[in-house]
Amino acid sequence: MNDPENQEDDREQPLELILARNLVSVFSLPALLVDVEARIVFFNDAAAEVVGSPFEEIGTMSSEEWNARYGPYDERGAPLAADELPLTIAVREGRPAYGRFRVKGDRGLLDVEAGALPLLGPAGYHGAMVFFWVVPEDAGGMR
Amino acid sequence: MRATLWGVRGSVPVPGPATERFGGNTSCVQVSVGESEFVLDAGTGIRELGAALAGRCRRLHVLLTHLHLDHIQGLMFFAPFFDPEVEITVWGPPAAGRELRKRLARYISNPLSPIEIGELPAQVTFRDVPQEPWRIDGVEVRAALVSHRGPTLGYRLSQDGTSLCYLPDHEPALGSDLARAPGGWISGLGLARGAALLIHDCQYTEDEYPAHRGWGHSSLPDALAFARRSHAQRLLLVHHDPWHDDAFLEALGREASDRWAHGGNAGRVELGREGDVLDLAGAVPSPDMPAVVVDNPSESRFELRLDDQLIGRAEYRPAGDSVIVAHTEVDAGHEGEGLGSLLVREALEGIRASGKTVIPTCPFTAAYIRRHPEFVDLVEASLRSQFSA
Repeated sequence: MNDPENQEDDREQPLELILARNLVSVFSLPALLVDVEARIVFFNDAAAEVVGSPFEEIGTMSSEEWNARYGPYDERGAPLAADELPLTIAVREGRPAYGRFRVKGDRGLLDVEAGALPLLGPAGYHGAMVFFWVVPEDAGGMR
Repeated sequence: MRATLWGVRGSVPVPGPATERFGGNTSCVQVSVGESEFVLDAGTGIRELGAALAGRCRRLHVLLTHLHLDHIQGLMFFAPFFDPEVEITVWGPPAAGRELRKRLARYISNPLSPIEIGELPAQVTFRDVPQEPWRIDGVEVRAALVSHRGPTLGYRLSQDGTSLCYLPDHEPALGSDLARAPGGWISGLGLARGAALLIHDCQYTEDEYPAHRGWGHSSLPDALAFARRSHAQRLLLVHHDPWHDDAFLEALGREASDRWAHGGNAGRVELGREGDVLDLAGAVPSPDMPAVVVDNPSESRFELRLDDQLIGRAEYRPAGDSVIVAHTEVDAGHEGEGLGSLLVREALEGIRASGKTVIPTCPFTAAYIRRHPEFVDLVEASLRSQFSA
């Protein structure tokens, strides 16, 4: 069954976001999508492996809820301000952005590298696509 | 509202005896609403439409879905463009950094054309479609980008509760499961919901589609699945592949009808033919926001809502890997509108999406499944034989 918060699944989405969901749903690289209101509206199975739950269980959530659940954190495990996150920059400035930080996943704190792309279409800004990569432990800590 | 088909072919015109029953001209549909004339796409079919309109129409709107050649090739041969007394507004998809007029001028210019776009004698205005619905002569026009190669629009024209939706080049199934995806995530579905007439792409057969996945067109099963989700009252399949001759299309039309009827769907489905005239005057009004069904797990029920009012419910409870659907009801004021079937169908699709099977103890749900064999596989295995034909 759908989560009650997922009733918004029936909200009509712009094509840019629909195609982005179609694309990332077949990727093995963890990815998530945010809409124009900065809500997390989808993440793929690879991302579900990192955060420990499939999207179908969690459903749409605000970026604040997402940050409270999963981070980001700095190398000491302290919460990071959202201002300098790639997603925030992509949304605020409408440009691609990259960052490295920690997230709280099913397996504890994980180093990740993330890149965010704003979804800009003919009608303007529709959200952003965020790809991330879990840095293997033997690749060294956060720089 | 009346629709006249002047071109139903996709890709390239195919004149000749093998296509004379369905027609060989590329995309063009005339929509007449009172004295107002709308022209959906300007494929080669627009040439004969222009001859029909010449001298009797002083103002019209051409709504282009996109600028692939099979949708604009007829522009230079549209008689009203050559009448200085005629006002024409050409609407089209927005594209980053290039005005519609300049994009069309790539075709209506040397060396592809003997005339330049600025030499057209008519009073022509070129406009990108707005993001929000707009009104033309009392008709609400809504446009939205849809899944096809390059910026491509679908249109919905509405007047007095009757809507026509036009999606001639559309591949909503690309990367999406049309039977199970949430409605808001299906390309074009918001335009098509509850339309009295849905004119939709059906270029390929089921067998042909895999070799053309990603080309921006639909197979017959996908077109039917999309129409089913849209709850359109009448489906007209167009954009026929140029390799499909009349005999082939006659067979495809029978297959479409069989598949539609086998699915237990209401309404009509047919293949569009050049010259068809469809009068929607008698169509049942189709609200822009018809009833919707949402799952409410906290109340253990699927809720049927109309204008945000709860008007029906399908109550359920979990039972291991199954879901027992115990009771369904629709408020007395909405009986006989087919909403009970909508409620059960969406509830069953929701259960299917959850990966569970269904135990239909509710007599209405059980009867629905018996009438709709496509849901028999959803019934819990030990009960399934009771529902098989």
